[in-house]
Amino acid sequence: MSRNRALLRLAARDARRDGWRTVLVVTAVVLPVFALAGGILAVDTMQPTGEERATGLLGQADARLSLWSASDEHDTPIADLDQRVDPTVRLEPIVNLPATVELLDIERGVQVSDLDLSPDALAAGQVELVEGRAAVADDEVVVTAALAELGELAIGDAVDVMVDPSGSQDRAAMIPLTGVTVVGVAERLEFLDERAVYVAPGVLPHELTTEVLLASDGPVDIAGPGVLFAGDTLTEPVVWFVETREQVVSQRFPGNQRIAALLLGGLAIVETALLAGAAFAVSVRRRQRELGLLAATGGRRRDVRRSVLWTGGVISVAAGVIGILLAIGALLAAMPVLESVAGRRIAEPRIDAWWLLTVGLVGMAGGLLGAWLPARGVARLPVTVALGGRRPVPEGSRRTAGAGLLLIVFGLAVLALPITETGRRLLFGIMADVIFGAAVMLIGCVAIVLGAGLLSPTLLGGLGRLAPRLGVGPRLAVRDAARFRMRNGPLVTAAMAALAASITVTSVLGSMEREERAFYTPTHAEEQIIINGPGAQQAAQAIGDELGAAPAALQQLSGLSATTTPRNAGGTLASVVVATPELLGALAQDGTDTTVAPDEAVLVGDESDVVEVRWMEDDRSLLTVEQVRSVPARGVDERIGGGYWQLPALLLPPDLLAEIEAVLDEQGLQITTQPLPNAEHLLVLDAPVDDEAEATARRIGAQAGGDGLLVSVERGYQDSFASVRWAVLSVGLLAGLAVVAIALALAATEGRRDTVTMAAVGASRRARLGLAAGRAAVLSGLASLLAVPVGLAPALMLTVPLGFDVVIPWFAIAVVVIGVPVVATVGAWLAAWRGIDRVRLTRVV
Amino acid sequence: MNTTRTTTIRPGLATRAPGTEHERGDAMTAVLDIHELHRTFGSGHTAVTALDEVTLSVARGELVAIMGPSGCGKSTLLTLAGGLDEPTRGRVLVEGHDLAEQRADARAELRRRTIGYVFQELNLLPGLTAAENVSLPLELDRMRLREARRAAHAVLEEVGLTEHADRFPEDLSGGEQQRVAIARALVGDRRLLLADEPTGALDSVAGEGVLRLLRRACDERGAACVLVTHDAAQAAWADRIVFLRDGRVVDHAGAATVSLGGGR
Repeated sequence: MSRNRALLRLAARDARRDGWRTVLVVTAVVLPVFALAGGILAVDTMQPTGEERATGLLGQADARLSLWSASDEHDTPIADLDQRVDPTVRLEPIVNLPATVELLDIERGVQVSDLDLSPDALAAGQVELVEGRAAVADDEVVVTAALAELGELAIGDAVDVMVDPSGSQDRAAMIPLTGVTVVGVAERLEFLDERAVYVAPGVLPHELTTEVLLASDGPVDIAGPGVLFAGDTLTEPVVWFVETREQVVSQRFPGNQRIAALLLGGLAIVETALLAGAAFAVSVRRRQRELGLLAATGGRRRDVRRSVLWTGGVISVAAGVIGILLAIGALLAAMPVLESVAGRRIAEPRIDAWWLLTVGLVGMAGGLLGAWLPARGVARLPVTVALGGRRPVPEGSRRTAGAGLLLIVFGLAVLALPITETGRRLLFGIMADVIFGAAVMLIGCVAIVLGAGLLSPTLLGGLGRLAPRLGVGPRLAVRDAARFRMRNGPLVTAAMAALAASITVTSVLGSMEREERAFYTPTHAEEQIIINGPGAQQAAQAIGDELGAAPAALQQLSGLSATTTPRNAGGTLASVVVATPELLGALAQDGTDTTVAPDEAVLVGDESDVVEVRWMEDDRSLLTVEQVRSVPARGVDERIGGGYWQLPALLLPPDLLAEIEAVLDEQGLQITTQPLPNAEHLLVLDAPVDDEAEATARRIGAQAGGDGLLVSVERGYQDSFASVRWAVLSVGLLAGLAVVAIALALAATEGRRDTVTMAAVGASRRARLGLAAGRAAVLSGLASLLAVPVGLAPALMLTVPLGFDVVIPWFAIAVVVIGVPVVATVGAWLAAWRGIDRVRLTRVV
Repeated sequence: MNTTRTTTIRPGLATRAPGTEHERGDAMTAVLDIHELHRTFGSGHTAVTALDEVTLSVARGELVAIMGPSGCGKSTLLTLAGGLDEPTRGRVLVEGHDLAEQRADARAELRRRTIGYVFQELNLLPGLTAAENVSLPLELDRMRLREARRAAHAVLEEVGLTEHADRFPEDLSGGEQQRVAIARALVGDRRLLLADEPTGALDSVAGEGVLRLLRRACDERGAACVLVTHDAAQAAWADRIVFLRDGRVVDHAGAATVSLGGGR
């Protein structure tokens, strides 16, 4: 015990004395621990507990009935529900309907609900009043904070709410709540972003009930057979969905995030061990004489080993604790942001001590693993050698290299599994778990990286054989890399892993991108802007004014089946729209006569001989148009198909539509078309829509349109992976360069004496700078070269089973192979340039 | 001893122009001429004067020992003489070149061609073989590799290490390493050897071998040598001895004065 206390004291002192090497190890442990612990804490905190989820949906109720689907032809049989359920069950029906509210001259979509906000209601707990009071009269409403903020509403303001029971946006069918006064502001605790209006219970028609909360005072199984209804459904075709509190509470979300976190943790521990190992190796070298003294004064091998491991333990534990504390601090600081991201009110941060401990242990294990090899090495050193200060250079054994090769072969075999049918079924079929398959693939990648790590000292040793043929600077750099191969090997591996990962990801994403590009189908021509959703008419007009194009309404005539002769594919035309001169001008090629004759249909984009267009309804021909004019469409890409509407399109003049009682008035074509203000609108520019025009259209659309307005522009294929590829490549390069920088800093510390010796024998400043740059070139060059095969192998194995063509990311490879060594070499030159004169030559002399 | 040497130790001696003959010598040229050298480290209350008005001249073929207690400024004097540090005041002339007037690269060139250093701690580059360590100054001076190696082997032969030419420092004993260091200091016909306690890390037999080499370099090659030591027996190998205390030259003597019968 006392021995351990002494070793602990020594370890704490050594950790302090090691200065920046201690900082390096602490950083190497803190970063993954902080990232993993922070991620898990944030995800845990943002996700509601089962009880919170249940209260958010059910309030205090034991169960909830939700209307799944209904038909206009049948009454909702909610009226007599209280007579059909067990008498001990308490019911609280809720009407929850879509509505529109005009706020700041823009019509906004909202939900209207007659939820009972009183504290003793079954719904209590779903919604919390933050200001004012609940609505009690017919002309009072409570609005959610999100809606109040959007519409700059305050208590006492009056609003007009149009309740739309059918959801058809048919104004005639809406229930107007005109001039109602806002008496309170509330928050729906689990859905903070919800824009809702709460009216007093009973204001909305009872027969429109969409939800019923139920509670039982006695021991009644709410969802059990016979309690609610005789069967599973109330009546056909109305279908109700029953959820009990227990079901909601026990709902579990897949723990993928935690599994992913643990996988990342596995990678982090490898990276941490590699970095920490190099730092500990240097520390041990510096303490060699002291450790020799420990052995000379009676310390056993394991005491020497423990002395180093205690240092590793002290640093790793401190770093693990720092990482966890930082994560907790960041969580507390980020609570408002988390609430905003989660969209729910978070009562308190959720801190899972066991997970934190696990993550902390992962980081600490990485640090200790890094200390293990140097500790083992110095403990095996003969005491006289340790005391003499001689520095025998540990050599990589053939056994280590062999193990490295075996690991690489194993990793490649694992990655090759999905190439075979059996392997695919094993990984993704039988287990039916993508996470399992991904984990196995990740193990393959890690095996390759570790294998390369074990092999790298041998490679570095082999590199040393080139030295005699080189000039002094490169010779020393190569020999240094070879001599310190056991220290440089892990660092080269760490840099290689980061660079290889960026090559793998860019290759896989590149392959996916190529696949997407090959199968991409544009939705409309590239000079067109399509606007649809609330406020489309105003938005289209405003955008058209700004961009100099006249908007044309695309009023789809749903239900109209037009046939042509000879028949085109399928015999029907998907797009049948109301003809206007503006629309014809927008769709047809320039020079086309845009006059719309009252008895003539216009077929755009199909120049075949059309002899007849019919509108069939219930097997009756309501309309036959014999006069059809075919016109060529403008700017049509032959690949266009699907999307908002299709060519060829049939344009029917309003006069013809009047014949079939499809009346076009200010509201648009009643019955068969959407109301005019929300109909799709088309703008055709003189040229393909560029970035600036698209940005303008979206900006004006957001200002002039309503919530949910969509401005759609066809820009051709857009590389959706480009930013991810750049981000991954940048992070990989930065990480790789950071590791190379650490390797160089360690080499510079080790080689300071050599630098001074060089100065003393007359090496010019340039020659000394060349030595620093040479070291950088050797280490970064080797890491970069190894990164290419190590990065491409997993990419190949991952993309081939998916049936993708493998994309070799030449640019990323060039950046890795040329850019990284050049940046590292120039950086080392510049760093040495700044520091070289600060090395006091007299310190060694 | 096959040469006649005349030495001068004169604190406060007036500066002589570079290349002038020694006033008490028989036409001997001073390879190293140090004049009123002053070096202070730190400033204000924490300022420490390492050297104070030291003047010293070392002629061709002369071996001068610098003695004194620890911290008296011996090593500082050597670093200033080799242009590894810059004096606060005073001048250092090596073969007539004022080091203060030379840029860093020119001083580095002097160290490659004129000045040879031998350190107490066996400062060989561990990444280079014995021959490569010896040929290092020549290679740095852009001599062709083959010629540099030939010259290195010749000097290694002088110090008796031909058979170890291709070994790395870690495969050599301490004495062998120091002999390689001396070979490196001599290669290229350097005229000034600065040895800072070169036997400090060696046993007495190996140490004597090193001193013998230094002596021979002075006698046979005509090199000027400054040997920093705190061992009177080693100082006895010198032609004269300079005593430093608290950064000042406090005494000087001929070798016989302190000779303990050490073995020339």
